[in-house]
Amino acid sequence: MAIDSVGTLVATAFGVALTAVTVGALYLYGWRKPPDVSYTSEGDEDRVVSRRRGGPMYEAEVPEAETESVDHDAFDPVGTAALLLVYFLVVGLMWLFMYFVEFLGNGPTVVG
Amino acid sequence: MAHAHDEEISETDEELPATHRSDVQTTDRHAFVDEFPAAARIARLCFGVSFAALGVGALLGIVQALHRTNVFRGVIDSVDYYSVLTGHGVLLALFFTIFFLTGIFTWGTTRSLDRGLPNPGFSLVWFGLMFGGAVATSVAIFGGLVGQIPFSADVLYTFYAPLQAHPLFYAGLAAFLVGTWLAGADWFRTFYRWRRDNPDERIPLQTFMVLTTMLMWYICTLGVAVEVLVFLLPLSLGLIDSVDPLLTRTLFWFFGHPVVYFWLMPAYFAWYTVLPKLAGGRLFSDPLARIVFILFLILSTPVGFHHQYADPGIPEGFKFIAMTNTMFLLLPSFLTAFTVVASIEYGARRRGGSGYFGWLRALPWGKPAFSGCALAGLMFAAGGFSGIVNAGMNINSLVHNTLWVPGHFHLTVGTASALTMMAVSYWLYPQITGKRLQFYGLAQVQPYVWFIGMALMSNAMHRAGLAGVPRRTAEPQYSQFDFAPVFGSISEMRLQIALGGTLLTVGALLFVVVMVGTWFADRGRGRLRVDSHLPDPISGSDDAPRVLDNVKLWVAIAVVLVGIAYGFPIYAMVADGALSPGAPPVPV
Amino acid sequence: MHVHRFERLWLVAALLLIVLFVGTVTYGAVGAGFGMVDAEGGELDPTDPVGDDGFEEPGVYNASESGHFDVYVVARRFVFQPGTNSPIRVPVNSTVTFHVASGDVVHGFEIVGTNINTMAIPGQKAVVTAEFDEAGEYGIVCNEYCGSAHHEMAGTLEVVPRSAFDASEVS
Repeated sequence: MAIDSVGTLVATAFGVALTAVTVGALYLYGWRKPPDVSYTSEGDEDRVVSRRRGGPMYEAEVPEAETESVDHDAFDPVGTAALLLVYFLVVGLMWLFMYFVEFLGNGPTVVG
Repeated sequence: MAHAHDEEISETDEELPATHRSDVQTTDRHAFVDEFPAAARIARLCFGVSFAALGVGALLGIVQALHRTNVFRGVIDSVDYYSVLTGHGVLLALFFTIFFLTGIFTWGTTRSLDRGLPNPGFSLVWFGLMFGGAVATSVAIFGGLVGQIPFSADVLYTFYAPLQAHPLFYAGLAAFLVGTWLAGADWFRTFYRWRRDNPDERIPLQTFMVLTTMLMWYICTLGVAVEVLVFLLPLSLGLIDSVDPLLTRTLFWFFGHPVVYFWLMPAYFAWYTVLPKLAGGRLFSDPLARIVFILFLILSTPVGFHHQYADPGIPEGFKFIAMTNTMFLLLPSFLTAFTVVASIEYGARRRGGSGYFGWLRALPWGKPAFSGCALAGLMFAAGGFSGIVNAGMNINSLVHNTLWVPGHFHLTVGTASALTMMAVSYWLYPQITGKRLQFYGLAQVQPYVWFIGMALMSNAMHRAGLAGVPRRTAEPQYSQFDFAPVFGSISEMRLQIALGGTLLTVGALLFVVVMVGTWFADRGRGRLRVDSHLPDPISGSDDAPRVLDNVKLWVAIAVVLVGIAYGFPIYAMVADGALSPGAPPVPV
Repeated sequence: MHVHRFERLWLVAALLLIVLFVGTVTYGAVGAGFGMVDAEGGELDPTDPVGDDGFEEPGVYNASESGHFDVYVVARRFVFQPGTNSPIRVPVNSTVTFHVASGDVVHGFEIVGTNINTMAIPGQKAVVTAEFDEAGEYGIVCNEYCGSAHHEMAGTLEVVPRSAFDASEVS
């Protein structure tokens, strides 16, 4: 075995640390959250804005381009077509090379 | 401007306060961490374990890369290489990937249904099961490196019988698996409650993807669950004294191929629903995305024999069926290439890009969430090709169990999945923690470091495999003969593997540093740099035929195909006795 | 459902590629005659494959047709019998059928530099046939992890000119 007498110490420390982290995490995140508002139906809990220190975080503003409506017939993905044409040729040729040159050229093959 | 939302939750969207309406653009949209605190907490826990597994797994990886190339063998001796390899495989391919999935699917379900988890306590239970199982299995594996600990599990990620690990290894995996089943139940429950309130609406795309992925998971994990709970765990406990290695291998690969889609579908989830926004574009087609996920649900499992082409005991006809199913399983990935690239192209052209190829330059390559996903997709195109070679039945004998195979899967799970998961985290982690991303410069550079490292390592692995160099071997240098590659030399390949592996480890550590730095940052008041708005697709869910949402139909078809692919062979293996021919265990 | 005409074109292209792949592989199987190891080898005792299970003592044997040979190989942790301690020797221009069995765990049997690559699974007999048209020396590697000395499990196959082949080596 690679590590010997140090091993027991390392293993014990690792086990204790892992347990401590797990317990600590569960405590902080799991058990301590106070239900400080009354609920009227399930799933409500998530509607309460967190009272974490610093207050709530807001998202960045949404770019206008994302909210306009679009005409789905107006866009022809020619760049995609070009890339996929290249890919089609590469894959097709690479396959033929792999099969007929590399595979067939690799000496005796199982025939049954 | 904090509100305390203690009113009754209304039945329809219109009555909700402005900050909860997804169609109203205000500058006061709460970040996910405050919108759905319980779900954000679960996602944080999942991501925390995922990233920790990534960090440890990456360190194991560099030890391996330097050892097997003979660049540096001073960290471990060759016997312990197999403990390291088991750890690398299990931590990365099972824990890093699947904890990430449970995190992002919790986010996606909650966000797309605009609805919190039905019971956060239950969610903690499945997380706890997964985490406890992962710890148990990891302890069993690392026990192999420490002399005083009586456990070990040097069985590798595939744990083929009759090699036998300590029962803790199998018990941990079983607990982890049950945890994932319960996670799926959680998301299904959230969906059913939403459905009760929204009987006629189309299933939102992200939720549709989560549900179809989990249905595929329930079908395929049956195989490994039976393997572990009926055979391997009892064997390791001494309750039975032998198992049929061919049967247990077959049950593993029943699961072993679909699991790669469990790694890939979260990446596709990100590429379809988030990446278009990151590129400034829109999803080209929602219906096609649904079709792709349905194809994965139907075709992922009845292909497992393509991992067993070289196995005796399985008739050639069934290997041929697996081969054709596998080749058709290329279709959803090919379709994805079109839809995702078109979605990004739309963004590039809106940003001013032009020409057949020049539009690529207009994309936000400086944004790590975008560049990581895009580079991951590019690399997947190459990885998919080497997978086609693997799938080609007879040509498979050229590459079976050679270093070509890890070359292939480092491109697929190792980049398409892993790099996408890292990239999406740059965008998502701030939203579930309420912290702005730290060390942004490191984040910008990280995807490129990963890509270059992987290009070096993987190309050398592929070429070494063509020369016959085996995988899963601590010292692939044999005194009896030399390997004779067609292109390049073995020593140059070893250098590329060592160098590439080093860059990858740096890439993983860069990511971990960014995430840990963000985790420890102050929450502060104010505003994130990202927003979670996902623009409407160009072709939306209204264009999707209703039959696509009929998941029961697709599950039925999936089950029929699995029956055709596996029914007779498994029957034949079991007919002479499920434990026969029985090989006794070989503890490692 | 609206499918863009480029997407329809790509769908056709993708299906063409898939047909190319399936077609090539089928040609390989049916046209070029490549085979796969299958279930015809039957089952063996998982710990003691040699003996009355239709598996001879490890070694090279004359088959019924002239120019055909049967090689019985047992893979155990961590040797090939024969192969490791003594090379497997067959003459050039012969058709060799390897019968591969395992006496303990799953092993691989890969003849490096060829497409002869099969698994040895305890309880099953792997049977693969190949033609050796050129003289040469090949390495044999176990390419499936089988335990702590897996990386030492290797052997050699010698394809020798007829004149150098000692017929008395064969059973």
